[in-house]
Amino acid sequence: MRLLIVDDSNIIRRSIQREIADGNHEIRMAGDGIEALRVFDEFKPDIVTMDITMPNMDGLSCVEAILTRNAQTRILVISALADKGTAVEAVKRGAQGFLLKPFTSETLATEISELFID
Amino acid sequence: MTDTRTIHEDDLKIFVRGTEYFFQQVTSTRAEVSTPFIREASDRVIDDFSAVIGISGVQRGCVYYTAPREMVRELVTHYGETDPSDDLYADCVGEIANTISGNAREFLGPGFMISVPVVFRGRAEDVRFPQDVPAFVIPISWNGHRSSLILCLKRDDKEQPSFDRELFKEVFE
Amino acid sequence: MSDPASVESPQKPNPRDAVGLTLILLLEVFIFMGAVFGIALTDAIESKATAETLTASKLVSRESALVERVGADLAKLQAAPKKDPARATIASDLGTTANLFATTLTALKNGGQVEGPGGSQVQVHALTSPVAVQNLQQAQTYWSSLAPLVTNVVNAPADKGAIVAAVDQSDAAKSGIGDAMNATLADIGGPGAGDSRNITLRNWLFRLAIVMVLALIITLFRRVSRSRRQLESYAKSLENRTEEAIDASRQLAEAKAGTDRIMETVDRGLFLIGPDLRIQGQYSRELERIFRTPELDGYNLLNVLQRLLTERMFEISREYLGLLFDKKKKERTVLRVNPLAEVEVHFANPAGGFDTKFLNFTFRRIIDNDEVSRVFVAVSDITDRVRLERQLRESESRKERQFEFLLGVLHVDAKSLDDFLKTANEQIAVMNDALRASDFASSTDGRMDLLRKRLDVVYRAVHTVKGNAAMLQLSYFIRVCDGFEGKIVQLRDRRALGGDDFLSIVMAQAELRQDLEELQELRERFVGLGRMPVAAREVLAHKAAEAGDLIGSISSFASQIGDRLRKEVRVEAAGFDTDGLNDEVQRTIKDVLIQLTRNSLIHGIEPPQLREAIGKPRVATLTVRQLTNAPGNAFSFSFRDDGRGLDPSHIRERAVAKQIVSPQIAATMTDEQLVALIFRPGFSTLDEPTADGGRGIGMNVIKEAIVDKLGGRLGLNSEPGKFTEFSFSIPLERKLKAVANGVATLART
Repeated sequence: MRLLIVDDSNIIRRSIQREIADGNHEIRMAGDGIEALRVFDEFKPDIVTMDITMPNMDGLSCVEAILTRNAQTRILVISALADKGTAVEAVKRGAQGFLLKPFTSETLATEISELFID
Repeated sequence: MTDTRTIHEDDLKIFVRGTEYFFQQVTSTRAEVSTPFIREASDRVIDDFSAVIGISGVQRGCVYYTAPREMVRELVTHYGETDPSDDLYADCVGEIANTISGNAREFLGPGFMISVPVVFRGRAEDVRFPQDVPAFVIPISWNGHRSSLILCLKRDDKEQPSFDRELFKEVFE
Repeated sequence: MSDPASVESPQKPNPRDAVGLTLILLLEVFIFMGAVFGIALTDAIESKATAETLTASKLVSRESALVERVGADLAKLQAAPKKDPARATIASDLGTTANLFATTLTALKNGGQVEGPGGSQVQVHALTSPVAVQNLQQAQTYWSSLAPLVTNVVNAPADKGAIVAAVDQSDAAKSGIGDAMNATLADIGGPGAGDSRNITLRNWLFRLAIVMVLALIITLFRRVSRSRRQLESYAKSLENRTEEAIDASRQLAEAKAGTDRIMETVDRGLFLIGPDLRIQGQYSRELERIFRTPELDGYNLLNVLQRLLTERMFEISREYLGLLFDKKKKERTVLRVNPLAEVEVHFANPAGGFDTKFLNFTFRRIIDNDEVSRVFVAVSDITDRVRLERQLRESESRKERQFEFLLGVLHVDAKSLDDFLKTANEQIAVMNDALRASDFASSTDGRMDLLRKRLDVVYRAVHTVKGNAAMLQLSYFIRVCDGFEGKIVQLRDRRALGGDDFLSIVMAQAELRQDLEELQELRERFVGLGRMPVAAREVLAHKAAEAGDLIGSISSFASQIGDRLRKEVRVEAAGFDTDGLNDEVQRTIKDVLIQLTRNSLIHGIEPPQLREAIGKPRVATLTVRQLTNAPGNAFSFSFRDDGRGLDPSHIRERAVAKQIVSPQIAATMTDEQLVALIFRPGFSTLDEPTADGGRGIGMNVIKEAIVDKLGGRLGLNSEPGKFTEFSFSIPLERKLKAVANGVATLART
């Protein structure tokens, strides 16, 4: 399983990586929307975790761009923005899950696994 | 002259609660929020690692989070880091500021727009705080360390859609 | 109640059964026909055999008769006279008879045609049974011996010798042939004694036929009865079905009545919407109440929401409803981000204004053929619950605040608290007077001045309260007063003041008043507290304030400020005692000491490093002394710090900079006069206001308090770099002395 972690905070990227890594996954990271797309085209991940507030290109636009490239990609939006409209917008753009920061490792694991439940 | 008001006690409450929630979720110890006060020129509030987030929309201004090195060192262990660097410390502080501000949107709505955090290090004495709004300093104690969340915000009765360039320049340039 | 859908259908005739039955039937008929045919056949064979046997029997019998006739004919010939004309006839008969006998015998032996008893030709089969063969052969043997003789006679009917020979032979032949014929006849069995084998077969076939007939009858009977049973069961099940249908529709009616009851009484709005977002089908009555709209059939949900939600919330809701019907989005994900789980709605109140309520919406998809055909919606009015929660939180926060008060106040003794409240309320009154007198219209410069002056009054009042709060470490009030001061300052800096601007002041004042009332309330509840143990709310490392001890309070206050400014200080006040003085005087002295302490620490006392560097002790000393050389009936005391002292030239600069005096006048002032300037309003030697320091009016407050209010005197002494000392004299009986400036300058030592 190939996973791409997108967040402008290094500490968050590494934290997510630590939670998910189990030897079976190949993991890459990106620090903003533009870098994310570049890595996406090369790496072709199955799952993407996406922050929203990032420089150069915000997360929601990036979600749309990724789904244009491959509509099968499972995207989990992870953001600190706690207002209702953001969550609805994320799902509208095509994310399959929405996780609010701060999160615990249990909720992260649950959200990732539920990406695949139809 | 723009018709501005100082922020309400409720707004302060949102950030205080948000801070308490953050520490409760991420660490196993609660944070104690002491009574906020208005920063005076003689108050040295900036600590080793700081992050500032620009705010625009229904409220305008900025939010700082600043903490001493020992505290940040302990905090990063809760993100699983065992051998962190100064860069990571700065990152951590930025993430804290980002999370607390982002969570505030639950109550302040999407009109409360936050920027990407800018981090800086060192107890800079020349950090400029906006002159026209009071800077509410919210002291946050955690595990015996003292940090601060600083809110420099004013409410706009007429929501201004564009970011206040002047204010931004004043703070960052 | 049975499920109407599972009504038992009548046993449909099992096709396999039918086929089986038919086959059986056919089989039986077939066998029967076979049996009958068999019987017919055997009968035919039988009768044919019988006929044949009869024929054969007749022929065999005839042979005997024929042989007799031959004998008889021969006898006749023998007896007949020689010239009997009948001789020829008899001979002819004889010949015919013999011929017939011979041919018959041959036919009997080998089969063939022969003249039958009736005269016609008959067919006869060879008799093949061993007895018959043997006897026929025997007969043949006898005949063979006789036949030629007979032929002789026939040819020569008059030949006596032939006749005699024949007669002799015929006797023997007659009996021999007769026996043989009898034996053969017996062997044939005669008519009626048929082939026993045939008879057995025939019997069996007969029996079989009868059995088949019976079987047929039974089968047919079964068939018939089954059909009848089927018909019966059809009829029965039709009856049942009808009954059940009636039952089912009754149940349906009951169920519908039940649903109707539910829809009528359920306490939430339940309804279905289609992809066009219109309300479809039955909905619960409560929905009309919740939405405050009757007759919701066909209403578009968005239209309903648009009236109730803010624009932003409406947009989000519209998008959300879109997501619900978009089957490409997983239901679980969509339900997770429901923005209407707890939403504030506003109903226009006919009496004016808005009714605010809180609603909870939950959604479920209904899938038909892999499409989201409808969405099921449940709405609840959760206003009460939300209000209760908020009230709870509010009362909790009120409790918190009160608790905060309490905690913030625990370390203060009752008397000090009372004093504080008293002063604070006095100051509120002062503020109120000032504000009440204000002219709130925007104004000309002269009026502006007046307004600013009133602002100053308010400011000073707040400042005093703040000082007192600071001394008692009532951080809540320090904060509130600070905020209040801030608002005033903001106002002061404006070029033009309008009525609106004072609103914030009035609001702040009202809030302060309310806070004080709450504190009062709290204080009254703890009436019996008296001396309370110290429990400082913030971590303060220095010594606790001793309740009731003025100097103790000043000491802690000094330490507190010192900590904040990172300066080290101690207070010395041996023998200073204000007991016996009236309340007002005591309070004033306290106020003054507070101001002086603050000013010393902020302006006067140097940082510890600097002090060390210039040879002073690291820890600064504030000395409060009671003076005993007071003139008349007065209470005198002095306050001294060993700090920087007052620098007249510096003071001159500041005074000019602050436009308190013009440069020219300033140039001509003596040191003493310059020093006295610090008591002017607006004077401060620090560039920016601090929480602890005044905004340039600290000294002024002191002057007002001692001189204007109490009719006392004050003095000032200082040496730059060394010390600053203030002295005060307060008359114990208030004499309203009109003192011009009330400043007595002691000679410099």
